[in-house]
Amino acid sequence: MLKALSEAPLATDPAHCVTVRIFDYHYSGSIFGTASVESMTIGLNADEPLMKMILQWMREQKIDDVAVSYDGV
Amino acid sequence: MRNPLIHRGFFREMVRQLRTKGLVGTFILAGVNLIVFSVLITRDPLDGVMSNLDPRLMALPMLLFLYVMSPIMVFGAYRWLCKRVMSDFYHALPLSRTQIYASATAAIFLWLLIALGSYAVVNALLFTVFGMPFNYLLYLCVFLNMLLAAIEIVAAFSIGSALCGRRFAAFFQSVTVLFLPRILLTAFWMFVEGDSWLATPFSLLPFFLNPAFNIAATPIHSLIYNIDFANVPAMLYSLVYGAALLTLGCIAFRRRKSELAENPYASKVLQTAARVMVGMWSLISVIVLLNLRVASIAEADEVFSAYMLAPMTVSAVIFSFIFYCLYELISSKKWKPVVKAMPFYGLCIVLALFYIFVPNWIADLRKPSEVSADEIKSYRFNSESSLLLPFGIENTRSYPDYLLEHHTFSDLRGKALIATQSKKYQSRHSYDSLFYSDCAVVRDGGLFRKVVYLPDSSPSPINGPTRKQIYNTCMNDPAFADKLLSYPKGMIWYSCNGLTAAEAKEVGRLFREDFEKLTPGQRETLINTRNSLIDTTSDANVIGLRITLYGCVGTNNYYITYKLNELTPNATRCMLDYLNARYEKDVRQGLRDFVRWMEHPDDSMSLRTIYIGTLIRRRKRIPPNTRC
Repeated sequence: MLKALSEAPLATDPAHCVTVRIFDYHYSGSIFGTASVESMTIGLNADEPLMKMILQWMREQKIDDVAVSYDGV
Repeated sequence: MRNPLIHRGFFREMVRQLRTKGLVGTFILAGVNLIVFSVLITRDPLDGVMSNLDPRLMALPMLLFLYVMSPIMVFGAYRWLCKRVMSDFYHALPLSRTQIYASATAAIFLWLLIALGSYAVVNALLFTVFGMPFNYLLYLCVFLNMLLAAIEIVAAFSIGSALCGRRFAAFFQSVTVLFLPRILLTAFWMFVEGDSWLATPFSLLPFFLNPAFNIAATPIHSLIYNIDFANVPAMLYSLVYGAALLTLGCIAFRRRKSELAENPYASKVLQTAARVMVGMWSLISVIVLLNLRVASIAEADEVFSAYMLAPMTVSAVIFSFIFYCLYELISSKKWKPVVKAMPFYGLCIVLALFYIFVPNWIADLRKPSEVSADEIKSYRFNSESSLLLPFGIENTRSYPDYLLEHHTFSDLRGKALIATQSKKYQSRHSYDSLFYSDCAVVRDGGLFRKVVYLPDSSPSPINGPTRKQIYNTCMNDPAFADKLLSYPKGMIWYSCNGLTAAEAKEVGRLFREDFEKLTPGQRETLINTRNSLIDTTSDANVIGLRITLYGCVGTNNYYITYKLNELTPNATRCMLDYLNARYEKDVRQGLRDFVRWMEHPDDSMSLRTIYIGTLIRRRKRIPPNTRC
């Protein structure tokens, strides 16, 4: 699923758009253990079959957003 | 015609004598501006708008400068008071004492003004040139408060210098002159308002240290609250108080005898007061420090704490007694006054016990004060971080908070609702930010004073209304709802996650056009009211697209975050254009990495989170009482 998502065309029309945001966590490695977060967002076409599937699932779950996390986040 | 106050020649000489100190002070503050400049020039433009609407950033360097440089300047101008030969020479000059005092004080103020003024102007210019949010009117108020603080500090150290022949004693007596009235005034309001001190004796210290916090105008109830730099009555009180101190300094200077040079003090009363202050504060400090140490070891082990109580108290008293005697010994350089002062040490113990125990005892006896709806003048929300900071200065607040504070309800119904929901207000504060209100009610205390009551949130359950309840109540008032759902007023800067300030400004322009086409109901859905009236959640910019507006109206600052979705198509499209161009490569790569990781889990992969969100607005069920 996500493979197709990664290839989906860009979009800017809010009525047919899904935002995908990726967070990168950077640890300074200092004794204070501070971390900075960089976020990157793009808009992808919601009319793609994969997107339609995701959106359908989100409607069924009655949620606006979904977070996909890994590595324990 | 001779000027009875300022002697031009002596004034010029004083300016010349203080030039090194003045220039060093000016360069130190210029160094702060250099740091500001380096931060502004090296910042990442995608970090969004850096806000300098927060007066803490403006006030702190100036305040630290005043506390360090004012005593140095005063002691520099009056260094001849501590040498008998020089003192005789200056006293023999064909000038009146008033002229010497006024000319020296004017020279000190001139150098302080040069340092503070050049710092403030360059600071404001830097933020303007870099296009950062900057509230000029508030900055002017902060600057005026600092000038008033300079009057207080210079006057207090002038009094100390006039009353002592040695610098060590002069320093402590000046500190006593500066802070003792504040402490006594606070105690006075404590009894007038029937209120208590805060939980620990040191909670009040930051406020005593900040001359901009005027206790006369903002009494004890507000001590835990933010400092309002734009409070004109408070500034007038400070001006009158500073002028009175300057006059006292002049009187002390006129009455001073030249023989006082190299002798410790002229006033036994002030010396005793300074000594008792040293003894009392050292006793309280040692008790608090030992108590913290014991608490960290015992972790509320009552048996251990009780066991440690006696040795802890005895140690604190011994330490404090040593400080008390040392102060007298160093200031007088003789043993005889030390022996004479010893019996008065008991006063330190009595005052310290009073300071530590009596306020809490009064608070326990007192019934919780209740505020009726008729008495309420306005409401205030605390900003989240302000309470935890050392100078407790007002932070930037959200737009709904700003509106609530300045809104006059058209009838008493709204006020009554909040008063009823709040049940009771007590000034003892316990902070719980997100769900239960830190909403305070403000009533008129007379003499231009505003008395702030905070809802008691201990013991549980919490008595204060939730922010959601307050929001619903406020939205029942059509005038309030109309203001909240209109486009915010004042000077506005825009910030969008991942966009430069110039790009965010363009999105903001389109957002305004989109916003003004919407109905009030549609506008309400754009405001993030996820958990509360105010968008205080840190995930405001996590999911979906957002635009944050930083604004200022007069001396008031605010911020508000709106969602961008299909209701605001032009702004959303513009923002996505920028984001797609900037991040397409990185996000696609991130998604591919994620897919690869799912197929071949690899522990070495960096920590990442992916959010997928639609921009298509979902219909929310809005409670009937929040509709306009």
